[in-house]
Amino acid sequence: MQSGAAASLVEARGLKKAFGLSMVLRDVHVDVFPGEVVAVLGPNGAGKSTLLRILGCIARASAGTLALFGTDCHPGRPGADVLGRIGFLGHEAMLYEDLTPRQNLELFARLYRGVRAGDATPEDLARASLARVGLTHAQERATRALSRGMLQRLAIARATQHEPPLLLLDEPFTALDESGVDLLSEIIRRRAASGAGVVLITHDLARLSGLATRVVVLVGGRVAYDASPVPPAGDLARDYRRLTGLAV
Amino acid sequence: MWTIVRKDLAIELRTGEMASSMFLLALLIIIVFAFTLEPERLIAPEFLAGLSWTTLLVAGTLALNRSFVLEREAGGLTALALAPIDRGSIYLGKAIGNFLLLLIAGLVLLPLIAILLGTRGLSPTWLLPVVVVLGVLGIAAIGTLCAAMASRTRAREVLLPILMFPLLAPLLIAATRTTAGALVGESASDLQSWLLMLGGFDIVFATAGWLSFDFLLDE
Amino acid sequence: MSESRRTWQDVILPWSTFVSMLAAIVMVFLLAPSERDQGIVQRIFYFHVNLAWMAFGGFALVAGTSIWFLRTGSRRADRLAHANAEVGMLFTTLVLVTGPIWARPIWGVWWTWDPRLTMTVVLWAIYAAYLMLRRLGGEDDTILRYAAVLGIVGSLDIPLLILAVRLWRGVHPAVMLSDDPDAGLKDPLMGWTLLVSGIALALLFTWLVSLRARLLAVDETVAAMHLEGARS
Repeated sequence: MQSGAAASLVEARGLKKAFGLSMVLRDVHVDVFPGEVVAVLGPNGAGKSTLLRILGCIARASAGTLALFGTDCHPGRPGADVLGRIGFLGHEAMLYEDLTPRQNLELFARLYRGVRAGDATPEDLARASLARVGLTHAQERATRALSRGMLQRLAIARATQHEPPLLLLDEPFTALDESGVDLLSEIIRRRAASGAGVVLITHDLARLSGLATRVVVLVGGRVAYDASPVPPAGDLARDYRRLTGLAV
Repeated sequence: MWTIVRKDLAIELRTGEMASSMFLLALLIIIVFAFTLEPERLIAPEFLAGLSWTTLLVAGTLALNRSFVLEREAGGLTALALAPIDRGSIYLGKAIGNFLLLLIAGLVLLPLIAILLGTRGLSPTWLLPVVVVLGVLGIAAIGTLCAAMASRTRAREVLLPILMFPLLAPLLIAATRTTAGALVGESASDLQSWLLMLGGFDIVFATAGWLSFDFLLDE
Repeated sequence: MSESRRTWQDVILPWSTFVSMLAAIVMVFLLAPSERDQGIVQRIFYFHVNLAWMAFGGFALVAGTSIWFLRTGSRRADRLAHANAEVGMLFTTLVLVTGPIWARPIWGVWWTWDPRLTMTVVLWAIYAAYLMLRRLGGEDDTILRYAAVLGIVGSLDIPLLILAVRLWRGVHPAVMLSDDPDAGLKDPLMGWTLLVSGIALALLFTWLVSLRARLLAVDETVAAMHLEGARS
């Protein structure tokens, strides 16, 4: 941990990831500091989701170093205190479809009990989370029966319930309706304001401008662009096209 | 760890699908045995023991498979891998859940088999439930590990038995001998070495599973 | 690849295998005296017993390379584990084949469930499980780790298996079938033959593993080239 400057939440150097014989990430350096909202863009297959999964300690890099909250996570293994401070939202909902939303959130509240501040009971915490994402009315239905939008809200609740200082979100706005989008944007803003770091994979340029403090573009497994503050949408789209030959 | 056990129980209580399908399958297997093998000739305790364990193994494979399919379905296992818990305890949690399920099945099946296929000349001792517990513990320990491995592949239903059965060979040998002995009233000292072997098997493989689960959850 | 390793693999290993196998065959079929009771079929014993040793030892090698792989992530370790498993499987199959060939004339049956045969069948199944996991596992790298875990767990299983089977069935009928102390491995030349054929088979095992591992490495390189080519 450095003295003086704010300690970084994420410090990744030289990350490489190979799946079988194809290199998905070739040499990625990335830092995330508290209060930042980093948007990650890139063409399909550029390695964005893979990078996020490595940052979330779900996947292990093939090479490179990763430090989260100042602690070594690769090589070496992340401890419970590191894992408990990460909130992850991936492509899968990561929920149990046979339980009710309430049961799901209570389960995760229990699992994260060790690292949470405060002594709210799991039941209370779950109830509060459900209210926050507007799912109180559906809390006793089987998760299997929820619509995609509601499922996404529940996943958001799961990822943010324990107030993690590091939020990793992979295309979180998909499936959300207008109010859902507003809800999530508000959550992100609030978390960042309270000192959390947010890394956000998205394709939605319009959303970015209001929300992100920094934008990173990943092309072919490398960071090709890193700008802070985020340029206006038109410039960004132009830069993106220049880098990748594609529209966002 | 117990959270995970409770979670699995909660799921099972809501849907009840694993227990009922397992039970039904076991019953059908016993009936098939009754048709294909002359029931009158099956009185020998060795046969009863063998049939019981075979049935339990096959039906249990179903439950073991399901326990991980549900996890992989919506990414539940990934969520557990993310959580700030010791990964070994994920293994233990699943294993205990499977153990309980198999144990209930075993304790129901054994008397059922005895009834359906003949109980003449049997004097079961208190050792019988002990053997069932020890044996099922071993099946759960190895089975949970193998199910976790197989569930990642596409051919999971067929791969699970391929992985499990050879590894369970020593356990099956020990469990069947001991069950047969317990059915005719052999004493604990007679069956001592077998019981020790069962216990040893359980400890070795539960520990192996607990230690290696970390490796299995990484991508 | 280093010079010394290349020399080892291309020159020393194949030639020593060839020479020792030649010596073994000569000794087994020509030089060793006929065993009194069993006649000419007994000669298979020299191979059968050593094959069995290699088969069981092979799994220890799978376990060892698997541990190496889990610790360091070295792909070479993984290839060696894979190769060891394949060659081990081959040798186990040969044990199961040479066994009945020996048994039929001597004991009158093709197969019995005596301890050693039972153990070998289960060993075969464990090898099969390992290879099936690798085959059905798909392209994922994660499967390599799973296979390594299986390799280690399998090797823990084998001692327990041996114990259980011994307890269950009693002991493998001894090589010597009569009570006459004059029969059996009396002639020291037989002992030498056993040793030489053992060395020969061990070298053969090692050579086959090295060949297979190199082939796997080439496979990987070719696949990587394909992927790169497809991308550009």
